[in-house]
Amino acid sequence: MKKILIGIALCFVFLSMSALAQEAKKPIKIGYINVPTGAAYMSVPAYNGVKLAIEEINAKGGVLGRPLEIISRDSKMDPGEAVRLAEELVSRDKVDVLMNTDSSAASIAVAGWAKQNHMPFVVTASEADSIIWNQENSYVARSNSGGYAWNAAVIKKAMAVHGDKLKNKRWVTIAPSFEFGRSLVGSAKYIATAQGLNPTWVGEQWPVYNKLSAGSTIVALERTNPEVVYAILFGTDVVKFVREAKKRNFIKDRIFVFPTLAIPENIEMLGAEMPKGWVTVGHPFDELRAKKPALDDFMKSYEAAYPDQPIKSYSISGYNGIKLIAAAIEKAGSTDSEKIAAAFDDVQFDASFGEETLRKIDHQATTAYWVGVSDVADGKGKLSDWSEYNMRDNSPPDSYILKIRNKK
Amino acid sequence: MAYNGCCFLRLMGLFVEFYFIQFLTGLSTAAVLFLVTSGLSLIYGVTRILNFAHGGLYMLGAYMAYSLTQYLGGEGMNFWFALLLASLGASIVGVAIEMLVLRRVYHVPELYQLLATFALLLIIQDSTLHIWGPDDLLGPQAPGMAGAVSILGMPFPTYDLFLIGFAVVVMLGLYLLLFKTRFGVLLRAATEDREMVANLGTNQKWLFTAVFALGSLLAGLGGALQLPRESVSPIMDSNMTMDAFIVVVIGGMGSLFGAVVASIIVGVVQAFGILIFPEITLVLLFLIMAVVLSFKPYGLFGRAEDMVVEKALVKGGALKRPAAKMRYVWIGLGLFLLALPWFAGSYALVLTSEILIFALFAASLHFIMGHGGVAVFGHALYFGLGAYAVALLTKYFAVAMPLALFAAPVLAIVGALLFGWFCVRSQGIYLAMLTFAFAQMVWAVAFQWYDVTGGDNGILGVWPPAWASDKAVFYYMVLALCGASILILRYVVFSPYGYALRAVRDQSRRAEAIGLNGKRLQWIGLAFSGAFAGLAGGLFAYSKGSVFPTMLDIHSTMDAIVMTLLGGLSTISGPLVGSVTYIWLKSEISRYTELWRFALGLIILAIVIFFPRGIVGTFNAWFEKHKRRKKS
Repeated sequence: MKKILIGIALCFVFLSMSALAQEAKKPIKIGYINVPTGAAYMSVPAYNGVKLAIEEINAKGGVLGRPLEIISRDSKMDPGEAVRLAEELVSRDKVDVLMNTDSSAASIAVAGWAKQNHMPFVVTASEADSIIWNQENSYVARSNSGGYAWNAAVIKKAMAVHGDKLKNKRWVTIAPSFEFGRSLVGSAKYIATAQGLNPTWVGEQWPVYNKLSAGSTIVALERTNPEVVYAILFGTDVVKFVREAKKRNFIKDRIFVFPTLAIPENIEMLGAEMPKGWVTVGHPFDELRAKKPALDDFMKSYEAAYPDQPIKSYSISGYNGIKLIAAAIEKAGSTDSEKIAAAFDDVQFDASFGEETLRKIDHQATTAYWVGVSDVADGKGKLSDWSEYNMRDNSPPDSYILKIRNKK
Repeated sequence: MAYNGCCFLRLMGLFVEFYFIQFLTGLSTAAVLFLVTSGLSLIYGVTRILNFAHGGLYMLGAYMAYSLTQYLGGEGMNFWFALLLASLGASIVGVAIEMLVLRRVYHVPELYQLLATFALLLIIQDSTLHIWGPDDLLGPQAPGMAGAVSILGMPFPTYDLFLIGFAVVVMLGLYLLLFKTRFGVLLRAATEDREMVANLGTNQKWLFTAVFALGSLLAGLGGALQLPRESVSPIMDSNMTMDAFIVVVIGGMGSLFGAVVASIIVGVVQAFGILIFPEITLVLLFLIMAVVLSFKPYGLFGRAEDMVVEKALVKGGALKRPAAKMRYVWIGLGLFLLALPWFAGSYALVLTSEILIFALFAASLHFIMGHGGVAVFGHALYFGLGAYAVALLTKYFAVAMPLALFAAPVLAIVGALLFGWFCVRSQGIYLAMLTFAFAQMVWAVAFQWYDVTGGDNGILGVWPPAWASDKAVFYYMVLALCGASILILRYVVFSPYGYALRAVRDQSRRAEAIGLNGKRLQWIGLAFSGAFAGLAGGLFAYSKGSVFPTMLDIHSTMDAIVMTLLGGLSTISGPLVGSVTYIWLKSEISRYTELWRFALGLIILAIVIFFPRGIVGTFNAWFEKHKRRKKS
């Protein structure tokens, strides 16, 4: 009898111990709002990067001794649905942090929700600066680069390439009507003037995303007889614009500034049809990996995990997003949402290009990016004559951001 | 800069060239639109099905053309051969859809058919994404047509010119087919009077299949011909579906000539809209559609058909008051909902609030659709108006929540009275399309009027005030308002007005004869139901803290329709059961699979084919049968 009792007691001790151990091992949950059906072209590579980062971190024992767990939901690129999912992930799935790969409109909406509900939230895809600048929102951080800095670098590069030919010109803009298009055109206008280019803005077109009527739009732009074309387009709109601009001889003798032209997905899609000599942002990974061991390591593990899926810019920002969250939790020493949000200030994390630091004022990563001119070699598009820029040097001073915030 | 006379003329001359080139560009858009919509129109003419999945077949045509040009090579004749094969492929898929699914829904009401084809579109979308992947795919240029020809000194793409010519050839071909062959005679006869053709001994089944084959071939061809102009992407169907609908509705459904004229109108207006009013391109199209339908309710070349009108919705029959025993169920449900915050977590409260809001939205649609017999296909309009009323008042005037929530139904009523006046003069599928056009127009305004509505960023920061921001307090507020509204709707259903409305629905001529003004009753009914949809929208805005144009779009309308039909149209508790089931299903499905559209499509098809009476209706029927058997 005594033996049985001791046995039972031992069992209890054992069980409670293992329960304790389980408690310590309870995963840290990251709620991930993603868009597999809305914009799979960005969702799939981003999720690949996310899974890779999670595997790496968990293989090294997790964060605070607990493994990371991702819970992914599809917002269908609908901002209303994204807010509903944020609510669901936090109150039903009890996630500790939110993260997304989504449109600018949805990111702004979830950022607002995160502020209202005091949840840390990491943006990994949207480049619209209004997410982090329009309001004081210590709960939001961003792991990819932002629109203003892109513009600053792109216009500097255009000045380096074209010199005085860029001064006193007639400019037109074409950008999708959504938030990212609006905010990029806005900051491009501001920066071009601030750099002393004395531009005249003679026309603007705001096609609906993915619904560009390229032929008619180009005729409308041609009528204003511009000398410089500032364009931001995505996905299928890029192809329509490039093909139609070539056919209609719109590209002749004009300077093109097109920040989104040479992102990896467009290089892959356009192939030899990539126009030459347009100033753009790109990711010359193959040339960079020789110089950056951290990137080379990242690319090797990515290629091993997803042999038939090329690395996209979203893979990197997704990967960096997880690394950023892990670093912030580590720094906070807990999964308390207020502590994580506070830890975002100046947190250092180990990103795919090496060590990065979040800016204190807007929780923006100091991601590097590359600006050059588009080119074609061996039947493939590429970025030539590129230089490296980073977010810290090309973001506006804190006073500029504070001014935006105070205006609101 | 000063222009002298010569320079001025030169400038004028330049403008003429621009306008002419823009006109041609518009025509090349019209060419592809015509290919797609002529198929849509032919199918509608014969089968009376407005096929949502047509845009899906267009997309399939483009994807198959891409794969075939990769496989065969995009050079010389192989390119054209690939395009031809791709169109045939789309045709085969169209035939499969017709034989497997649509044959089962020819006898159901038109709104159900619309839903069935919408479900098919969802299934095609997910299948395409699954087969070809998410990336944009770029096909080759048409051989020998990568350049441009000079017209009035301006370059114009050769391929666009080819498209215009090709569309003219197809137009002639269709004309010959319809007017010079026996098949064409049968098609036209079926468009005029299906039953007569059947009585004369034509096998209708195969006629329907044949017209689907032809229509899908044209859709696939339209898609395949896009290959040199744009990359193939999983969203190309939704763009085309919307444009094609606008064209067939403006031109008149079933009219091939209407498709020609309306394609040209839409193509050219789009082109000049970009040149002259780049800010309102979307609004412009829907505005034209709404204006045409307001003055010519059957489109430019469509014909009024009594036959169609009578069967847009199910006949409800006399509505029985539910058994007295049911009262206990309602009281029990009420007590459960009142007690919910004591034991449920915050997520359950949020979810229940959302279900209640959608139950009110569905109940308001159910009122006008089920009892009023008005096939509204744009109820999101009133939901969205309510939400935007709240958001705009909060953003620009910092209006307090009670007042804003009062304004939401008021704006919805104003909208419903305005748009409803045009809508109730139309009937059947045209009424559905007119309500759809108005909803899309307001959506386009919300989407493009960036300075006021924030475009697709929506309006943020519409949170309830501090006293109501606690989830339980907000829940009680939603429960009180939605509960009261649903009770009012129910009360009105059994009021004399409710009976009058059903009289008009079931026997419009007899109702007219005893002095009921049917149009006015429906008009008031639309305003009444719009008010509750507006209130639901206002509450929804506060529950999300933001509003977006998506609240006004087709998916929002679809949500309401599916919830209503899922519950059952000729029932009382249908909307409630429907919204609970639908919201629960939707959130659960998307938790477990990325193929949620596929799953949703299957569910809708199941409702349409197997349970057209909805959950409550099916249950009631089963219950009745059981009772009868017991008695005997």
